[in-house]
Amino acid sequence: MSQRTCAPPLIEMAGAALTSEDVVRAIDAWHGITPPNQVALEFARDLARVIAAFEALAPVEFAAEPSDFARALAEFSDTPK
Amino acid sequence: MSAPAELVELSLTEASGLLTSRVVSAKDLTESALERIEKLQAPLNAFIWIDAEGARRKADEIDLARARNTELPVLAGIPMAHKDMFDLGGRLATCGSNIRADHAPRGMATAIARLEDQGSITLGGLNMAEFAQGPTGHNAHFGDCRNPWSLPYISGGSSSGSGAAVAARLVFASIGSDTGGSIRIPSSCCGVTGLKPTYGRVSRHGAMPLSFSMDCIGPLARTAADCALMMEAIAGPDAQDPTSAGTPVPAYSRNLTGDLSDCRIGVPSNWGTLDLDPEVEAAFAAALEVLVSRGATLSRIDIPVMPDISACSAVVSRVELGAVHADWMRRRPQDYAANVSGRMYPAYAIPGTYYVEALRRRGSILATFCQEVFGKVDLIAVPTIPKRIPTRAETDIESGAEGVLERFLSPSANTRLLSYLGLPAISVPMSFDSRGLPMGLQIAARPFGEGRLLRAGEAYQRDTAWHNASPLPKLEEGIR
Repeated sequence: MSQRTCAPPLIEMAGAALTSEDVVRAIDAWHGITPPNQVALEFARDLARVIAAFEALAPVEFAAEPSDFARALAEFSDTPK
Repeated sequence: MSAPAELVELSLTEASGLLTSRVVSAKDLTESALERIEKLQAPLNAFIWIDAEGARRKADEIDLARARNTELPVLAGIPMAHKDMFDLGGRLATCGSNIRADHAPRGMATAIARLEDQGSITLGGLNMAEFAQGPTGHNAHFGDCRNPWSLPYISGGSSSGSGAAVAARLVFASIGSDTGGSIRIPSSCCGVTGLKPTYGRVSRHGAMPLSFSMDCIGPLARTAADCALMMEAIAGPDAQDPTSAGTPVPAYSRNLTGDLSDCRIGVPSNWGTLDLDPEVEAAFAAALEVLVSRGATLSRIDIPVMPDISACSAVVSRVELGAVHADWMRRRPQDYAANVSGRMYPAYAIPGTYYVEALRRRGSILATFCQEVFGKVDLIAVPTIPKRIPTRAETDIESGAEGVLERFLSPSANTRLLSYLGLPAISVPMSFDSRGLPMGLQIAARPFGEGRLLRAGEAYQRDTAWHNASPLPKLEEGIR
């Protein structure tokens, strides 16, 4: 069933305001995936919170090297070295 | 020593001892487990499939080897069953899904292969949330797994069958997976002990992927000592899993001294949810006192980088989940339960740049966390689930009820933060609420601190009896 006829709830995003129609259109365009059900649109509203929380983080410096997760696990290991 | 009348009431450690001393046979234990499964499968729905004949055959092989005085490993003859998401050499691995309902891959998951090589007996595949998505134990395809302590309540997920089957004494132990709490949550809901190991501590080869940056494989069993035996069997490097860690595996069982005098425990002043239900709060306070009586010291601790952990974790888990399901979401969306496909759907709108950034930060966030937290304490303690657990009806997303999404996601509030950090954590039973439902204590440690966690859990269980409580009398009374 198509959900495109549903009333689009507003998704607030930092620096922009996207409607769920925008999200639906983007996902369809990039992934060829359409909302499978009403629950998908309910969860889509939660996406705004996820995006906003991420955008609120301090930016990483331009030249910063990617951090090494495996090395950090080893460095702080509880196993006697 | 004679065999106890109720073999199923033994812990794995006790059963192993009786097998070694030949007081019981693998056949005795297997028949006892199968009898219990026959009786309780209908009300609990803990299994997706059962292989009674295969189990009997393996039990006979073990007993024959023992009769020939072959020296056998500690797990030889122990009946187990595992979350139905592992390659098992041609046996089913449905992933709790309609899409993989007939999936029977020929390969063998390393963790299960290591257990079976030790002689453990696999009784079947255990119920789980569809594709391990969801902390409640709902499953639209195979039916919800039910809590042995009270059937209308959630069993926890996603390793729902593992929690229920261990609690109801259908098996002595089980392997589950944990990406945001999927071992710890059902352990707490069902009153058993569960360990999420450090990322990479246990091979994921042959296990269903959910979020490959965070997926961990680990044991659920009655006691921390049982989990130690399981970890000794399954942990360690694996050439078939390039993310598995080469860190040596300690002899966990030999380290269970009961002494916590080298453990400084931090109680966070900030965490996922510290707005605790009063009953959870009282049980947590009592649990901390037990740990102190074993030599641990307590302090309050402020957890750093919480917004970073929370925000990055949400991005990584969603995008990786979406990536592995993209093809089916395009071609077969109707074959998922609505709550599963619906939950995955918005992940496809998260920008790739955010995902890369969330992973790029991961090492430095972990380093900051470890420096600031484990410079002051050795362990962190919080309730596994901050509230009393809800019913299945209250968390049924497809009901569309007001607030149902929040209720559905709430059991993982205190568990998921540790997954992005890759840190190990154990959940042990810490009491029952006034409705008779279990509550769990979660303890986390620095990377590869499983030995310290198991020691803390075992020390706690020396002085408490919550892990020995059995749901069987009430459950059997209810179904009579």
